[in-house]
Amino acid sequence: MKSIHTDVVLGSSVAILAALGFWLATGFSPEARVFPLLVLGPAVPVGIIIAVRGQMRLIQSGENPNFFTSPSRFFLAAAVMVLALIGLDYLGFLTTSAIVIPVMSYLLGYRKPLPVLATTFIFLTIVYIVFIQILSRPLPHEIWTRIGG
Amino acid sequence: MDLFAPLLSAIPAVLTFPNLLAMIGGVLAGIIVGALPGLTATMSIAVLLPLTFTMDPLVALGMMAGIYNGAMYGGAIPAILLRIPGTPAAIVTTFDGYPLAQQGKAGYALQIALLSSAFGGMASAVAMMLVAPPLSLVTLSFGPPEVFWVGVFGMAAVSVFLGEDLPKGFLAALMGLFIGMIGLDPVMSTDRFTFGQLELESGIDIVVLMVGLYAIPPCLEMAEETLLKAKHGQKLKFSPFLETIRETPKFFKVWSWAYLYGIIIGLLPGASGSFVSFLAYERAKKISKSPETFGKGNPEGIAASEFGNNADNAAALIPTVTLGIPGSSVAAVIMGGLLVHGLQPGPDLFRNSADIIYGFMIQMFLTSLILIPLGGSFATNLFAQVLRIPRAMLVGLILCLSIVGAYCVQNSIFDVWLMFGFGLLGYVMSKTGLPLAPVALGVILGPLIESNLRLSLLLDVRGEYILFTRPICMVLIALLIITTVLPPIWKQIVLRREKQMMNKQ
Repeated sequence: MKSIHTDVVLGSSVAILAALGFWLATGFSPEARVFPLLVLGPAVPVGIIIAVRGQMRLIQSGENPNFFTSPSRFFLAAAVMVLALIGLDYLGFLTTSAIVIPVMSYLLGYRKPLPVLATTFIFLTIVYIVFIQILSRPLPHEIWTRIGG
Repeated sequence: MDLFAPLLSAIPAVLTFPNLLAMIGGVLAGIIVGALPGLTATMSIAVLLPLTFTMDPLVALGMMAGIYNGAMYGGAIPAILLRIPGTPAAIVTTFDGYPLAQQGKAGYALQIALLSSAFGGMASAVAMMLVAPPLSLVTLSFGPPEVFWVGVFGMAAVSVFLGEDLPKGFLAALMGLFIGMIGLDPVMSTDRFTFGQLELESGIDIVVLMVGLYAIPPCLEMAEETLLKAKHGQKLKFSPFLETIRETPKFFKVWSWAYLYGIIIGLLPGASGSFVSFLAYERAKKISKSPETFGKGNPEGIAASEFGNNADNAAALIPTVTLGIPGSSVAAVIMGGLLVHGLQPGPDLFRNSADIIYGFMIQMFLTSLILIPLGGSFATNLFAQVLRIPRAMLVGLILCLSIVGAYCVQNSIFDVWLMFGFGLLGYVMSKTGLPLAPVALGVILGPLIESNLRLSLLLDVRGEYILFTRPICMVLIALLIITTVLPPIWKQIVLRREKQMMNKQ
C-alpha cells in the first residue's frame, strides 16, 4: 500500500500554489485584486479538503489508483515531444514533423516504413496546402531555406 | 405579412449561381477548418475576409455563413474520433462522441452530430428571421449585474453537473477562472500573474489552452497504452443514413431544450456556443431515463451538444445585426465583414439594405441545410478514416497538428510551449479525476464575469446592492442556488435512503 494518496499531492499542491497566488494578488491595485482574491481564496480550502479526503480514503479503504499506466512510455513520449518543440525553432515545422512522426511511431512500436512515410508525406502536404498556401499562415522557417539563403 | 415580404424578395438574390457556389465553398472550407484542431470559425473567417473584398456583399456574407456553419459541425469530427474538440464549442461533443467511437460506432456518432448541427443551424436561422426582434428586447434589459450572474450560474452549473466529484469540479472551475485572469486586467490594465513575460500580457488564448488540454493528454495516454491495445486501426461501422434520420424523433425533446438555451444564450454578448452546449448537455442528462449512460456513449449527449452549439449560431448574430453588439467572437468578425462591405449594423440595416440582411438570414438557413449532403458524403466518409491510422503513428500526427494549431494563433513558439504546458496539466487533471471542461469554460467566462462584476460595483454608486436587488438578478440567484445546492443535498438523501434500505434487508 502506498503511503500518499494521489489526491493528497494534488490538493496540497493546489492549496500551496493558490495561497502563493493569493499573496501575490494582494500586491495588485485595489480594483485589479478583487477578482483574483475571490477566485484564489476559495481554492485554498478546496485544495485542503481534497487532500484530507484523499488521505482519509487511503486510511479507510486503502484505495489509491496508479497515476501512470506505463511510466517509461509516458516519459519516452514526453521527451520526444519536448525535443520536437526545441527542434521546431531550429529545424522548422515541416522538417521537425518529418522527423517526429516516424521516430514516434518507431519508438512506440509501429515499424512499417511504407505506411509511416506515406502518412507523413500526406500529412505534410495537407498542412502545406491548407496552412501555408490557402490560409497564408507562416510556420517556423525551415532549416533548408536558411541554408540556401 | 410585412415581416415576410423582405424575406421573400431576398430569395431570388440568394439563389444565384455565385451565391450558391460561395455557400458550398464556405461550408466545405468550414468543415475542413473546423476539423483541424486549433483552427476556429472565427480565425478562418478573419483570415478569409480579405478574399471577399472584391465580392458582392451578399456573396461574401454567404461564404462567411458557410464557413461559420461548416466549422461548427467540423469541430465535432475530431471531437468524436480523437477526443480533440476542433472548435471550443465541440468540447461537450467529446463526452459521448469519443466513447461511442471507441465502441466502433464512430460513423453513427458523426451522423447524429451532422443531423443535430444541421437542424440546430436551421432552427437558429428561423429564430433569427422570425422570433429575433421580440427576443432581442429581453437582452436590452440585461445590464452588467445580470450578465455577471448568468456567467456565475454557468460556471456553477458546470462545476456541479460535469464533475462526478463536487470539490474537484469546483476546483477545476477555479483553475479556469484563474487561467482566464492571467495577463492585463480588463478594466485598469494591471499586469496579473505574467511574471514579466510579455507574451502573457494579452492573456491565454483559448485556442492554445484548448489544443493543449484536449490534444496532448490523449497523445500521452495513447503512447502509454500502445502496447496494451491492438496496433491495427479500428474499422468503422456506418449505419444507413436514412436509418439514422428515422431515429431523429427520439432527440426532439433534447433538441427543444438545446434550442431554447441556444436562442437565450446566443442573445447574450460573450456567452457563446460552448456555454450553450454545456447547458443543453446537462439538461439532456437530467431529463434522460438513463443519466448514468451519459459520458459513456449516449447519442443524446451528442445531439444536445451539437444542436446547442449550432442553435446559438444565428442567435448570436441577432444583437450584432440589430444593435451592433456581437454576441460571440465569430459574430464580431462577421460584424467586421459587414462594415468592410459598407453595411452599418443597426435598425438602418433592415431599412436600407433589407435584401442583404434578410438574404443573409436565408443563407444561414441554407448553409445549415447544405451541411447534410456535404457533411454526409464528404466529412463522414473521408475524415472518419483517421481512426484507421495506427495509434502509435497517431501520437506523432496529433502532436504535429497541435503544434501547428497553437503556433498559428499568434505565430509564436511561446504559445507552442504554453500549449504543451497545458497538455501536461490536462494529463495530470485527467489522471486525478479533475474535469477539463470547467477549466475551458472558466477561461471563456472569467473575463466576462470579472468585467461585469467590476462594472456593477462601479454602477452601484448609491450603495443599493444592485447585484442582489434587481429583479432579474434575484431570479438568476434563485436559479443558482437551486442548481448548485439542491443536487448535492438530494444525492446525500438518496445515498442515506439506499443505506437504510440495505440495513433493513
